[in-house]
Amino acid sequence: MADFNQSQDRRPRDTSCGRTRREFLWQTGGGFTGLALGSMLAQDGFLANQAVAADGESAFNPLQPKAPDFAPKAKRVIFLFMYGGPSHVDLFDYKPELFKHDGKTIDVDTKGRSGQRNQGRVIGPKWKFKQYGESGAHVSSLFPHLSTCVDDIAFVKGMYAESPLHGSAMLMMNSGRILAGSPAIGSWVNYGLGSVNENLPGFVVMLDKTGGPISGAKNWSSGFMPATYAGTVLRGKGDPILDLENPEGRSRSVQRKLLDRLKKYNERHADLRTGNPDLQARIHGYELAYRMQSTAPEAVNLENENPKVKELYGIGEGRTDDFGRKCLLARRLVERGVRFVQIYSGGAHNDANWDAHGDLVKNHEYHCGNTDKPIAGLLKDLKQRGMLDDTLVVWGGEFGRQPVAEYAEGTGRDHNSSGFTMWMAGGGIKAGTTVGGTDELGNKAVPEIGRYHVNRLHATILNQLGLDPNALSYFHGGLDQRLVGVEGAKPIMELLA
Amino acid sequence: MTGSIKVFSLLTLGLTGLIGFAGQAASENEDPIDDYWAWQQLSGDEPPTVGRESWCRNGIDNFIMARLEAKNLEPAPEAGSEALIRRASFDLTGLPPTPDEVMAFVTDEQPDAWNRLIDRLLDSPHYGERWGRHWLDIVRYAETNGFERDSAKPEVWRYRDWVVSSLNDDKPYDRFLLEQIAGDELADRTAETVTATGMHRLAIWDDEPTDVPQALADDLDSIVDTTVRATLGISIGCARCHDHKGDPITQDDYYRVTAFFKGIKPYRNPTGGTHIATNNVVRQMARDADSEPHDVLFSRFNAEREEHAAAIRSLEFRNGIQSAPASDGLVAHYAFDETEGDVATDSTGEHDGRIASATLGEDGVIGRGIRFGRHEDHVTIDRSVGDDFTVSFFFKTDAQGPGNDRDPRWFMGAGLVDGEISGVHNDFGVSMIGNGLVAAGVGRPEQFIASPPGYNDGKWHHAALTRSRETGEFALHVDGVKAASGTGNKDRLDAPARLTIGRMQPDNGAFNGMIDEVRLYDRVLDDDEIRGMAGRFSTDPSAIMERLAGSESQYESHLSALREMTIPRTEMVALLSLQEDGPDPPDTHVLIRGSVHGKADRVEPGVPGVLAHLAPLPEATPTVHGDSSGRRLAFARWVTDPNNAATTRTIANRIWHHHFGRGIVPTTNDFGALGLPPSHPELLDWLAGRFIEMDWSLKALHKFIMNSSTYRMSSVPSSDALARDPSNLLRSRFKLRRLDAEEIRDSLLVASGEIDLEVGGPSVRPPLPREVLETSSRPDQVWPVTSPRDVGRRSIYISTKRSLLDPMLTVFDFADTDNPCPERFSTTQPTQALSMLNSDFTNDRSDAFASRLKREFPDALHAQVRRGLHLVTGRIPDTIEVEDGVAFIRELREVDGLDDDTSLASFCLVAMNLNEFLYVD
Repeated sequence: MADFNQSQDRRPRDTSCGRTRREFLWQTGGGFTGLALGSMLAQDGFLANQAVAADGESAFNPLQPKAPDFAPKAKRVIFLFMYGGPSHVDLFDYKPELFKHDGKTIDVDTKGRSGQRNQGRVIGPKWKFKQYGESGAHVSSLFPHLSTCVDDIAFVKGMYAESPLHGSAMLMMNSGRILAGSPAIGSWVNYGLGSVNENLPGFVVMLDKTGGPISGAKNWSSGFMPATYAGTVLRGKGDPILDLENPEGRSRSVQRKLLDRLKKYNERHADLRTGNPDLQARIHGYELAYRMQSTAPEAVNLENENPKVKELYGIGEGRTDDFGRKCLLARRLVERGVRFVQIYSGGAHNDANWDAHGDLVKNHEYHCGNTDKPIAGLLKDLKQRGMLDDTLVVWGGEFGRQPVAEYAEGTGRDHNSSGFTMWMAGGGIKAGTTVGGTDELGNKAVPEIGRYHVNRLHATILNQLGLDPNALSYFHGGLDQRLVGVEGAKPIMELLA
Repeated sequence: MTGSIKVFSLLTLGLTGLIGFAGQAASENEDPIDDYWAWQQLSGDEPPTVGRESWCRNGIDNFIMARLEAKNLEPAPEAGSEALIRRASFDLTGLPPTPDEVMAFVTDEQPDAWNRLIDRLLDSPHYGERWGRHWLDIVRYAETNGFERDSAKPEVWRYRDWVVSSLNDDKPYDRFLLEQIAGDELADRTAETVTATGMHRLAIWDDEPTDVPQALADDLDSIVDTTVRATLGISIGCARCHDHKGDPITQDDYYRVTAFFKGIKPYRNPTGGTHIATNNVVRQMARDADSEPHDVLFSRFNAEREEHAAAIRSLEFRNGIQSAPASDGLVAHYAFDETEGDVATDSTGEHDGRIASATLGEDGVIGRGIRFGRHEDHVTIDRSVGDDFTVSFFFKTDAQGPGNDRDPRWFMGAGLVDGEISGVHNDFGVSMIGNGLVAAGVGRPEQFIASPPGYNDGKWHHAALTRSRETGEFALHVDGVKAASGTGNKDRLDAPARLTIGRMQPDNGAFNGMIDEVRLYDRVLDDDEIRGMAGRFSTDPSAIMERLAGSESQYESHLSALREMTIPRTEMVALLSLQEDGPDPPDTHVLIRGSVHGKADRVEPGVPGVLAHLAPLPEATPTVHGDSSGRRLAFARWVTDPNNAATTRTIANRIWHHHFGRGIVPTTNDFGALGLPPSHPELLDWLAGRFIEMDWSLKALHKFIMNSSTYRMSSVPSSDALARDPSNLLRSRFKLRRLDAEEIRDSLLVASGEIDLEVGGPSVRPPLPREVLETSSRPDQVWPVTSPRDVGRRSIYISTKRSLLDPMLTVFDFADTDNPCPERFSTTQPTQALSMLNSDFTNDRSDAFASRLKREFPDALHAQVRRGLHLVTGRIPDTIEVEDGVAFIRELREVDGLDDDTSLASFCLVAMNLNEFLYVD
């Protein structure tokens, strides 16, 4: 555990090697080079005692593996992002009052896309809730598979966020702020821990087949940090990473020849310019890219997966095939050292994601049906491989939905950022538990039961990875910026095993 | 546990004590705030004397050499000519030198060869593109707003062009800043100075914020913080929420500076919605800086016209002449003298109209008139005219019309008298568009004409539209002066049987104002008839002349003056810019924890306390234009006071940073105690002082810096320098640098021969990979391609869409668009190698490169390879390099069975991936 009292002190401090973050800033501004150096170069015995040591300006690998602040419970994160805002009261947050008052207009303060209201027509959930497992957690009939996993899950039912509107709420869930320009959580994790497999990107994002979420790449941007930490979009079909495949007609052997020719020219060039490790770094960058060209396709190739495992994820079944593949890909990626994988369920606009303003029944049956089996499959597969212990799975959207109807007719619900549910599993999270809660309508998180800002969720994720959320900082714009905000935030202690 | 701040442990040896820990250093002083170097006047130290005077070309070198000598270090030798011209060309223009330019320079034996080279590069229009881009990074330039809709910023590219041309013109830097901070408040403001204020409209903008007052404060914060960082090199935004221990910039300072900007209109429409309040952020101005503003010309024109008309009316009256509008061909006349009911009486008795809804009984131009205001207000009348007609009426409004001034399609406007049918028909109508343009159109194919703007000035005006089937001509007269005419078809009209007054026919485009005396004629009235009707005098001058006793010449002179009048038509330009709500801005309060919901004490405008002693703050007085407080102008004058050392240090340091790859203060936006200290503080102060002596000329400063021996050093370090100046803090050598994102993309296009060096204009959207488009929530709409040919434009002209940036630029560390980016990163990542080897972009370039080589040297492989290497490196390759390339191509052909074109293109791709191509010595 981190010492949170101590970390409230935001004065700059030196590290053991006598450097401050201000030197880091100077490095970044002055031009550090990335990936190729560090361990790779050291392994190759490359310039180890000469230029690297000699030119502090360049010999700097931003993805070099870094020790966490304390022993981590989780080594990687899979964040299942239900974009659009899943309706917690129809899924996990069981509220008998809603069934009771179905159709009645009541006084209730809400704030969503349609602004602030103080009255609304209650919509009773259209699905039955049952309790499952030893923990007795409630799950609606929308999740027949996931309900079998509740004893591995910790539900956070008292979440709240600062905005009930997609644009800013997405940024908040991904970067901790409602304003654009800050790094995504995956960027922070890679900044904090570095990469253990430089043949794969450290922060991978898989998008819905209908398109990206609103604001697109802003959701996995590295913001004010270097692009090294930005999320890489990975596709399950076709060229998995932009420009990973050779252009049509260029064989791998020709690519190799091309690289060999390039290397010879570049080495000749570098020989005349000793003391500039940038040049060596770039030569190595090409070798890494070449390796990535074989590593990444292997990572995304599901052919050799056991058919039973694929079946577990719903691969091969019409509705679940797409998301199932992504979940299985996520497991394969984290197995290979990717730190942070984010999968989007839902993309584009309207009912292509969980944003059920009109017909919630149709919307949620569609999206739940597409994801239920794959997510349950992921949890089961991770567990059977012993990976769930140190893999943190996070499920949720940018907010939840209101207990009352948005329109005069229909089941659609407007956005609700003042109370919603997220859940976590694995990675040192207390399994089979529920923390926090909302009022009797599921409208607002209640402090007495447990009410948690998004920053607390982020703090929990960082904490499980062995990073002190209040110490992980990056100097920008005259401030030590943090994922959890300059004010700091504590992990949700009740969630920790 | 540790709780330590997460930092990188470098692999390297420690930096020397030169980069110390300013916080610690400061704490040792008795009064750390007062003594801190960055808050002081320039030190005034002169260049030191050094042992190796012969090495020093100017004072810069003395400062550098003094420190090297103190460490007993040798500077690197001078770089070779080929390296120097390549360095200077990229540095000043972002483009490589051509082989001919290299040859000319290398063989130029004249002592002033270097000076002439610098002059040539500084004179290049591409200088402004290169250095303008540096400035665009600082002001977080982007062309969309970000967030959910990521909508476009109107006219934003004009600000980019303003930056580029200001630098090309070597606009003095003080003026450069003055125009950006307060170009709208200058007494002699022009379109150019107002365009400069577009700087403050570049920020991210949430069109749908959850807390509107807080969002307004956040928008203002971005303006204030960016301005202060860009000009003074300090971050005051940190003090927005509370004071920071040890930081001399207080929360009060922050809000005092904010008060200078408090009067500006927000981006947001106060009535809500997700659209920009265009009227707050876009203004129309005369394009030509020398011409008088349109509104001045326009009101003078109207006054003159009215003077002549009144003189004629008076002459007629004194001679007992009672004038009346033409009656020949009149088929309907609506005087709108009713005070109630729903009948619009036709004085000819034939075609009474129906008043659907309107306000009756107000004074009209003659008798009473009819007022329209609500959406449902309108009148319908018979279309009692045929294919030749004149429609005549008076109108009065002070409302902005729908549509925009550059688009005269009348059916986009507010309906005056309209006979539109949706779709392309042979219909017609008269409406008001945008900024008071009277617009009209006739028929199929659709023809549109419009008057100049300004007719929404709250005064009565007359309009007449004529159409002749025989000639196809139609004309619009406003106040009896022909405003516009066109030639349409000669077909029958199929306008609807009923016309609408006060609204467009298809139930939209409501007019907000009054209309009176609508007349329809089934013939084309002549100009005199229309002029008389508009001026309310006789429509038959020749008949009148006979009845005037002795005042014919007077009459004639007024009439001919009217006949010769033309409506002033100033070419207008729409500008993204700042505007204030008037001369009295609202109060500014300190906000507790930066929240608008926690108002504390009121503050007056003021500069940061620690810098206040540097220069006096002029008093703010409302501007001569009457539309703003003048506060920003006062602030701008303080910022650009020659004694304001914060400003001059900041710019001298920025220029140094871009020439040498690292500033004397490496944190170029942060000279405060949390930034990094300067490596050569005396040099920085001395340069800043010289810059004032150069009359704030950036080009002079570039030339001065580039004329130092320091700039001309080789980038290859000696082993001694590597050992004792490992981080090059002492500047013992030049810094080898990777080209930045734009330079790489542009250089690829130069090598392939595809570069299009057109300067300026709206940004372009060349095609992007499908995979990139699919990251958007609207893959098919997000990036409408302007033209595939636009791929050749320089990178600065590629549209900067916040949520969808060009992948070739982002992979090479393009500036973060959401925050001020004073220093680019320079990373090395395998994804860069993937882009350079496998992307469509680079492979298209290598194909074009190969075609170019074949074109230039048909069937001569050695020559092709030699030329290829020459083009990417700027130097003539040696035999081994050429032979290696030829052998590579032959192997691909013979062993791998690739065809000749593909083999050559593969070689070209290798050439474009060379470190020698991507790095500058």
